[in-house]
Amino acid sequence: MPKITLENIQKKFGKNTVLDGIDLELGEGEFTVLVGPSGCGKTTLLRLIAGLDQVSAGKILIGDRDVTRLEPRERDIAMVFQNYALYPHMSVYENMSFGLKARGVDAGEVKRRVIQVAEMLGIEILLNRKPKELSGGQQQRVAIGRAVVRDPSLFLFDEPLSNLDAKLRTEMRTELLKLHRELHATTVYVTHDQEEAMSMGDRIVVLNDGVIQQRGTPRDIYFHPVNLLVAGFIGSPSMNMLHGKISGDRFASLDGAIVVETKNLPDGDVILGIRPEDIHQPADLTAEQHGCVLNCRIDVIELLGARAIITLIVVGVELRAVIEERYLKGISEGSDLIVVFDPDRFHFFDAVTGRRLNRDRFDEEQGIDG
Amino acid sequence: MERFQHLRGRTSNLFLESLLIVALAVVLFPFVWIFVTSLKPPDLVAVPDVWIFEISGINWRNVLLESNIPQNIINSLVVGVVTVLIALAVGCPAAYSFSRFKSSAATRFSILAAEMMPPAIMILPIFLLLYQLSLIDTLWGVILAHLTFVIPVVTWFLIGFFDEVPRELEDQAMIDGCTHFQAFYKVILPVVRPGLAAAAIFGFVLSWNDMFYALILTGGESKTLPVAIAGFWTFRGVEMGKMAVAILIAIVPVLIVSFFVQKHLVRGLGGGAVKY
Amino acid sequence: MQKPDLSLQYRLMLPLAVVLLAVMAYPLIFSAWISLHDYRLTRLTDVQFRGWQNYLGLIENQQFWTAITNTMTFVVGAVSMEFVLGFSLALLLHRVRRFQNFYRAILLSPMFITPIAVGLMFRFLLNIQLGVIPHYLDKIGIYVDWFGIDLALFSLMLIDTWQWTPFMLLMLLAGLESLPKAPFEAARVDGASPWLIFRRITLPMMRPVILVALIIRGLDAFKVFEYVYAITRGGPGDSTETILFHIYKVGFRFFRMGEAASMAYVLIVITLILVTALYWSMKRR
Ligand SMILES: Nc1ncnc2c1ncn2[C@@H]1O[C@H](COP(=O)(O)OP(=O)(O)O)[C@@H](O)[C@H]1O
Ligand SMILES: [Mg+2]
Repeated sequence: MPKITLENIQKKFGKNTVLDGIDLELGEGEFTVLVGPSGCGKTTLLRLIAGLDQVSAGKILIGDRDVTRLEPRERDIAMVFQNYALYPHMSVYENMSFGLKARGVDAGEVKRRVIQVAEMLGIEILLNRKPKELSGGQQQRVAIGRAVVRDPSLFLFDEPLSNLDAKLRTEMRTELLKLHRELHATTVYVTHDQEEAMSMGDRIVVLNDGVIQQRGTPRDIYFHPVNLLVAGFIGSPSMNMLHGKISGDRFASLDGAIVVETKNLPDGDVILGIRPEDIHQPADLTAEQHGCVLNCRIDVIELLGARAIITLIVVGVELRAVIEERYLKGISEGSDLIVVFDPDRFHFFDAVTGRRLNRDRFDEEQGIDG
Repeated sequence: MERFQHLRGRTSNLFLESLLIVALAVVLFPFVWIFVTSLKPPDLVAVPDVWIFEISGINWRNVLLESNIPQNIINSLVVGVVTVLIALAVGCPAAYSFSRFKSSAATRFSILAAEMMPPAIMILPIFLLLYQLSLIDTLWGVILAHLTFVIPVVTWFLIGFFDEVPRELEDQAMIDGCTHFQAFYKVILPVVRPGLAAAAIFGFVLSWNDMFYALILTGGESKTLPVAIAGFWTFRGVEMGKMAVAILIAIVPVLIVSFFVQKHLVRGLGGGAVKY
Repeated sequence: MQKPDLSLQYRLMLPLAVVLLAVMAYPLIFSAWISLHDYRLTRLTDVQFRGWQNYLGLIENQQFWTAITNTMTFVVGAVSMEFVLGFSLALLLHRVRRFQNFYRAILLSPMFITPIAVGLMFRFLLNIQLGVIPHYLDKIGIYVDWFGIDLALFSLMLIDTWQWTPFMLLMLLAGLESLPKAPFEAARVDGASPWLIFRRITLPMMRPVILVALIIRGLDAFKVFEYVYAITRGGPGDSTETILFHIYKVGFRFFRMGEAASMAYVLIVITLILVTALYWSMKRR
């Protein structure tokens, strides 16, 4: 049975509907990442789960306990806020023990647990400091420690890494995952960073405009985005989108630059999505995968290290491609380049509804409605 | 400041500092004069020259040992402290409520409007009420009158301080097991303690400095210090020396505490309009 | 924002509401009632209803209008001087980094002390026979009667300026310090002159702070009483009779409380207009 169940959650602020019809089930011990652009309602959803705000409609269950109308303190959850929300007037030790004391845990037990968790996170030498004497990364650890020490039935993280610098962020990412492996606590982790989402989640839930767009494993979401929004949001650099038409099992882009065969797709206006990673050099693919060959002009080359992002121009259309650094030899901005695509990696979307059109084995299994 | 660097230069800075020193002198001169006057023996007080004097403690002795001023000081202290305590007790929860629950700008503003009320409108009915209750010439009357301006100021002040506490702090406390009210007094109140102190001091100074209400509502035993000072209206030398002492007693403590609250004042006064 | 906490919201406000109702709403209503009666402290058993008579009487009450005019002159004069001086000092302090805290602490000090003390200090400092300042001015051949009929109101403005310029300084300095740096740097890179930067960047960005400071100070200056009480008691003639002092005189010297209350209500209307102006100027931000 699922640990947390959200049934048809709706949240309005005045007339403004921020969340609309959220259904979600989180399994025991699962690490779910909730990802979406800023302002899409992620924080609002977490606050609803925590009980800090009240739902306008819908139900929240923890186990089979209906907590929809319960106060935060009655829900047995812990939350790590984006700004950490450490109590500035208390020492690290007091911060970590506050929740236990408020729940009436006896002093000896409080001490034992705080010290154990502090050791686990490597912050035992900080216990007597005040939050303002800590670096950002240390504050982050204390905030996490304060949540862990409570041993709650659910962890909520609201963009906990977004205030850290890039290096620390990747380190903490790994550490959080290790921690999760150790504790096996049910967790909802919110981020607006799709890369973070891809690298951390057992399951990813993509939220946009207060509606769940897609849920699945990172692979599902990357390879089978159900609509334009998800396709555009996941992946960096983001997916190339080409407007075109399908008629008689042939797709042609509006400018005629790209023409490919299609199978089992209805006629009509569509958008073809091609991930920059799916644009290859001829040598990379076997001849039978060469579904489409294009001759392009290189507009810009951005070297990232082992790989480079190149912006290509075909008949006035811009395409972004990621290629390996070794292919850069002998090409330069302004020169021509031949690229090939694997048609199996094409994503077709309805130009009007934005929904994904191509169905494959995966889509059938998921029962996703093409 | 870097942004005015183009103006910078040793000479211009020296010039600007000398302007500041002139301003400093204008501000300090009356203080120096009143201090000097308090030390002059009565027969020299009436001589305008600042530098002609001999030091004498007679004024201080007269005021502290043989006048009513000590009683007036106690009155002022009692009125100020009681007024501020009441103002904090009712203003603090209300300010938190104003800050946290989206109160309309107009409700918030009514607090400021209350503070801006001309005392003339309050004094007549307050006087008549106290008259009927036989509370004229008691400290309770003055406290009641002072509440009319100290409560709004303290509340307005505290709203600004509560606004600066991130909301997540009490969210965290509630998740940690507190009720909202517990989160307020266990977490938020300790966090705004400097603000509470500043508001209390400022409220106290306002009460301590008021003469208008106290003049009308007190007469004999219950006179506050400013009313007593106002009594030194004559030019007689004896009185002037004593007046100087009384004035110093009234202003020195306030000047000292004011140094501690200066940097909080803007936040409080501006009520969010000015960020410091 | 949280529905179930609505009760907490109001529970927390309840004490304030009760006390304010007791100490403010009651007096406001009572004095409205008084203002409609011939209410004299000397004739409490014989209080006559007069309707709008007290208010209508004000229209022809020369002393009342003199007091209003004096107060207006005082407010405009004093607040303008305070603003100009306060802004200059704020700009000065903002630039001079050395000993800044020391300068500021001293320069702000007058605003914390009781106005009656300020009034009395200046009464004696400026007194024509005994005062230190006229004494020294006399030595360099300047003879000024600070509290004579021509200068008295102006002298009171000067005293107000001495005490309250610090308030302007406090607000405006805080305003200056909270301004973002980027626009100034951009303007400097663009080669704007200091004067242009001041006029086109500093002033517009300071507008909200300036408005708040001006209006708070303006409203406060309306309540001027202590200097008048300490120094001139309205004289010479009625040249320094301000509105609060006039109300005090009518109500507590002549005991004509009905008339005093009607004046107070007119004052409230003026105040409310100014407070509303403050409200809008802050809201527009
Ligand atoms: N207390 C509130 N009152 C009104 N609107 C709010 C409130 N909290 C959030 N919103 C609105 O809800 C939307 C979602 O906000 P939020 O959940 O914070 O987004 P995210 O965390 O995904 O960036 C935003 O448009 C925001 O303006
Ligand atoms: Mg958020």
